[in-house]
Amino acid sequence: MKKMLELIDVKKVYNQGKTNEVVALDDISLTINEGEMVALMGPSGSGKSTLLNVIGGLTPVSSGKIFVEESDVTKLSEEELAALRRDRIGYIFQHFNLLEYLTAEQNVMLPLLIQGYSLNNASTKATTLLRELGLGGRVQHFPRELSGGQEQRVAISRSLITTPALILGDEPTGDLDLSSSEDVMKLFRRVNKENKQTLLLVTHSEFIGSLCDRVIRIDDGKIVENGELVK
Amino acid sequence: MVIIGLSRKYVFRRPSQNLAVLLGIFLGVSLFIGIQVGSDTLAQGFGAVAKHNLGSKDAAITNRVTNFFVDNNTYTNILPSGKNTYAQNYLNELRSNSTVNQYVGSLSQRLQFSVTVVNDLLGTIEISEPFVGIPKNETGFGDLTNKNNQILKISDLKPGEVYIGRSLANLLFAKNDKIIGQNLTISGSFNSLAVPFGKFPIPSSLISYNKSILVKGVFEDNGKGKEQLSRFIAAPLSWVQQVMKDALQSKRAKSVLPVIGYGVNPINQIIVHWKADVNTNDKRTMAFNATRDAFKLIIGPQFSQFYQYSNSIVVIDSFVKLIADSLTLLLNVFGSLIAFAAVLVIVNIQSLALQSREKETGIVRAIGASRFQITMTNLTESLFLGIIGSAFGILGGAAYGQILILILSYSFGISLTDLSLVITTQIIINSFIAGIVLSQITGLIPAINASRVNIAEVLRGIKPPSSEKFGKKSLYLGAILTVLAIFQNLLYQDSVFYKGQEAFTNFTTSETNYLNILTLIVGPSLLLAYYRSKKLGLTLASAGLVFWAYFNIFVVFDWIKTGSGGLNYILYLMFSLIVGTIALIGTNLDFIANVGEWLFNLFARTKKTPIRGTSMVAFRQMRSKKVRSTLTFALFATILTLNIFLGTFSYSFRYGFDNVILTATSGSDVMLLTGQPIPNSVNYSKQLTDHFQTPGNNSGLKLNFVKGFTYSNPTTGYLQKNGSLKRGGTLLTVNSNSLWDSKGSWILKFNLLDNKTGTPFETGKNIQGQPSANKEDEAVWKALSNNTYIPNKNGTLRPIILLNTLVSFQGGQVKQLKRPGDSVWLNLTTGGLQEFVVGSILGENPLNSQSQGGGPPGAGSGIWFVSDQWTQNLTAYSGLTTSQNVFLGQSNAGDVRSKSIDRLITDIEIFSNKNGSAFRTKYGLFGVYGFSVYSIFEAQLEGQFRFFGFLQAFTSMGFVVGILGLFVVAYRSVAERKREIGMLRALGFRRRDVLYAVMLELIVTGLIGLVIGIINGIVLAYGIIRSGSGSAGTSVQLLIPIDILTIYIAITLGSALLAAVLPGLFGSRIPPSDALRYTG
Ligand SMILES: Nc1ncnc2c1ncn2[C@@H]1O[C@H](COP(=O)(O)OP(=O)(O)OP(=O)(O)O)[C@@H](O)[C@H]1O
Ligand SMILES: [Mg+2]
Repeated sequence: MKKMLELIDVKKVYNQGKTNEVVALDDISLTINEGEMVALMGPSGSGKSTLLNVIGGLTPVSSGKIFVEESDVTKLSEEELAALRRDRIGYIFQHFNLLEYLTAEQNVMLPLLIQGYSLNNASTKATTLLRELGLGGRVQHFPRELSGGQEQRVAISRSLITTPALILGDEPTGDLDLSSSEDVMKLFRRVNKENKQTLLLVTHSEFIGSLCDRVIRIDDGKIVENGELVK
Repeated sequence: MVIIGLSRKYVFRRPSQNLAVLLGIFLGVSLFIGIQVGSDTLAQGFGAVAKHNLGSKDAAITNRVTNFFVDNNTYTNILPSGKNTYAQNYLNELRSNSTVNQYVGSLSQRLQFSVTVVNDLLGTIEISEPFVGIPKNETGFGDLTNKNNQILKISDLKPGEVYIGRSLANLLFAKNDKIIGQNLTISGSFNSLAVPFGKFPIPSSLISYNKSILVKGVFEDNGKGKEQLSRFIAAPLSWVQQVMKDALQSKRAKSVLPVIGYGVNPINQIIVHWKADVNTNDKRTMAFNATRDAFKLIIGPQFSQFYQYSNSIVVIDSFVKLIADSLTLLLNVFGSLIAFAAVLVIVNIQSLALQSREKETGIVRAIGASRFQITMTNLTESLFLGIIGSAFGILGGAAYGQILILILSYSFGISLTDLSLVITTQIIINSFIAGIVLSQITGLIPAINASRVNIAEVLRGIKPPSSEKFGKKSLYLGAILTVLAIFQNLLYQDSVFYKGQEAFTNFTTSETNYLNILTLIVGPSLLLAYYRSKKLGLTLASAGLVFWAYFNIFVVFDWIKTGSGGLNYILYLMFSLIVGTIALIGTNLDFIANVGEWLFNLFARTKKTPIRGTSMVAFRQMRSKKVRSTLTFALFATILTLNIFLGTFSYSFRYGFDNVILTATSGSDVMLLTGQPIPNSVNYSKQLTDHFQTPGNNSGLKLNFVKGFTYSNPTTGYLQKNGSLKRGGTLLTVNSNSLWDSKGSWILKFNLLDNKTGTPFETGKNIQGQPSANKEDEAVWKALSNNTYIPNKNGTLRPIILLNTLVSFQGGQVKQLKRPGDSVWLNLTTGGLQEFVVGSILGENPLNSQSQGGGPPGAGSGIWFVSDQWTQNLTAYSGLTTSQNVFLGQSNAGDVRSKSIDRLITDIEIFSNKNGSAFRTKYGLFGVYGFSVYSIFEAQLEGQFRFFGFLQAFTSMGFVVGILGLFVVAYRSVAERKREIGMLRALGFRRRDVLYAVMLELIVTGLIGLVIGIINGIVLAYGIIRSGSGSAGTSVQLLIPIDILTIYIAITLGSALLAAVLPGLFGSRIPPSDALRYTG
């Protein structure tokens, strides 16, 4: 089985050496294979968002190695990281997901445009996807005209639009009601099956966790459960 | 308490945002102070220069009636009998008078007249230089000192020895010449007295003198040498009196004319120097009044009839105050536009700062703070900032003022030692008021807006769209303006609704109609904005403003026939254009942004490029942040409009005159004046042309021809038959020899203003049919040189005269007094008046421009052309009948601007003036002084150009403010967008994509400002050129200064780029995860 993501002894310390030093990730090692759909759970402040950030190279690690497919994220240049995020990773954030001055469609088009797509092609793809997610009537709406759940679905569309190999979701269903959450999870499962896309989803919901292939639990920056309980 | 607590917290908790606001206020206050400091300093500088010219003269008595004080015998019939009124005796009486002694430190006598001075060795010459006789043991007026600071004592000078001032020495001697021990020749003439001697009046006659002087020292521009800025010759009073007496003596020997009346020791000035404690203008005025009464008692009741006593220092002070006031006004007008730009910066920054804490405001409101508390908190905060900003603003203003001083000293040639920074307590108080007002005004609207936030929506982190229509205020304002406009237009009797196009034939009515129509455009548009849509209303109002301004500049200015405009019309146009274009583009920014994005994508069509994402982010950001983008480009639009307007205008005025000069001078490029009239018998013109058949040594130029004209003595002309309505002037005679070359072809083309529009004169043939103005001119000049008689209003034939424009000012309007076909009258030697009929009005010509000694060519009055034949009969020519004293010539340079013409003039001066030259040896020294005709125009334009240069430098400071403001705005706007940048990075934007997006937005914004500024600036310059009434204004061409424009374009785009790169780089370097966590 091909490894999609491998973390080896990853440590992330905020404000190192200062009085407000926080060890957000404490020697995390884990592996996720291609085509897996994994839930990342843990109490607030346990380091979930930090973990997603270091994987995408949004923030540097203090020590350790992170492999996304073959490349070591910790060794990549800014330019290579940007290319990795653009072509291989799709992000869904916990808060603040959309650019307020772009319409739903334009928000979804953006990743395609920076890949070099033409406006027309990008627009067609974006509309199709938004329609699939039940936002057909909201294509030309600005974020301020959408509900929290609709916004989140637009953000999800944006992360899916480039068919990235790895999708990192920080509470993607946090703002959604139960049935919408289920729909989104179905969509995730579909792309996971159809395109062999790998998903790492942060969630607080045991129900969502139960819909995934595996649950990784962290507490205080350490893995406490990885599929089964860590001994 | 809550308010102060919160606001204090904000001030210190948000250093970077508040630093920006602080910087904005600092810039605004600096500008404000700078303008004041600049004009105060300028006033002081002008004052210093003017006082320099006085030397240490506090007040002076000069004579009114004649050139000199007179003695008792002369005015036996006039002056009280028994009084010995020799000037020296006055002086003695004055010195022993107790009132005088109470105020006056010292009194000194002077005999001073203007001389032509020639360096015999070099042939160099200066005319009208003061030759000043100073008493040998004068005290109390400072000393003349040389460059080694040694005192040059007048008492050391023997007869014939003089000291000359540094600035005169620089003109007369070549750089490394030995000056001391050299000989100079002075020459000149004065009028003997015309004395009402019983029943037999003794007429005045011209008395010439010619003396060699030996330079014993050169004094510098300090102490007593400050007088006339060291441009004079100082000699012992007794010897200057001797020169005058000798001249009178020689005249007396030559003719029977009795020349009396100057007394044994003539003087023509008594200089008053106050005691040290008379040191304020109030005290000076008191001393002046008291001493004037004392003088009156001594000299008698005729005092004010014969003498003039001037309170020199006080007069200069009030004159300087006048200059300073008008300058301050001008600076304030331009400064207000710059200040407007500064306000744009501050509002921009203030709203950014408040926007960025919207969420916080939402929270504070959610926990129960009232809107009033929020507004007050924010205002209190900006009050803190206003005070701190003002304090720094004083320093900034001082720096700005200092820069203005440097520019001033450069522009007006005022020495830096005369200009010191004047910062009064008033200025400091004003600056605090300005800072506080600025901070409160600019903070008010953003603060109110901040307090109005929709709590739920800001907490969600999104902003509601602004409303489609304007609020109630727009309704009220619109209604008031509309009603006002209707009344204004109805009540105004010269309204366009009554008079149609006629309403625009006069400058003043056009100006009023401009404003009336303006209100009519804005009022209803505001109503529309309330009832229909904000966008439609604003678009209509702003498009209306722009259109109306354009219509006035391009169409109405053609209709205006009378009157001339002040600064106001242009100011209204400027404000309409600036406000109109900014509002028009601002309201329709979404459209502009869409076009921009579309264009950009057209250019970026290559398949694999992330640029489309970048451009989408940039342009969409721009149109969503309409207000911020508008404020930013408005900043540039305002400042560039001002700068490009001034640049284009002054450039056009400088170089757009070339066509005027070429017309006026075609045919002649050299002008010569003589210190003394050259008799016709000498035939100087022929001597010169013969000599310069072989090119001059210095210039390598030949002279094609030289033509002589005769200036009369200053005389009086009458505009009415009965000898009333006097106008002072000088006659200039023309004969056929003056205008045609040896082959008989017409060579000197003077520009005649309106013989085309005036009543044509009859010369035997009708010139109306002549196609070319030049032919028409020729016909007029031919009539003049042949002494042709033309019909007056009654049809009687009278001799022809050509007049300069004679105008009167009535109620702010210029009225032309005489038109072709009208008559004027001149004194005849036989008594009585001779009627002349105006053949034409003179435009620009080098002769009359020179005689005015300033102002734009043709603007003055005073030169009247008559036929040579009248020199015999007119009193103006008494004593001058057979001499010529001004010559126009043509070299073979081919270009009036050629620098070799100046060298040809040196050649001519050497030929005519140099000791031992064939001409001088044979005919004597007449003091021939030459200059290139082009230099007359250049000298006249120089002053204007310097002034424009100063204004431009002044407004460029606004440009600097704009750029600084832009930096702050760009920095803040990137800082506000940290989270967005983090998200873009997470989506795969490279660092440079982020940078490009920020750059693109700012450059496009800058570009909009640039385009507005260039178009507005050029159109306004065109407007002011077209509005210029009178001959000078209309002949100027609009010239676009490409190099200046290029500089502005480069600086604008460069600074927009720089302002984007720095924050863009900074933004792109924040780790994306940090950026994502940023909450403002
Ligand atoms: N930029 C930062 N600087 C300092 N400390 C940080 C930073 N980012 C996160 N932390 C700290 O690191 C720890 C982990 O934070 P993280 O955001 O990863 O938690 P989380 O598991 O995502 O929590 P939640 O479920 O509430 O989102 C927390 O204690 C947090 O305070
Ligand atoms: Mg989190």
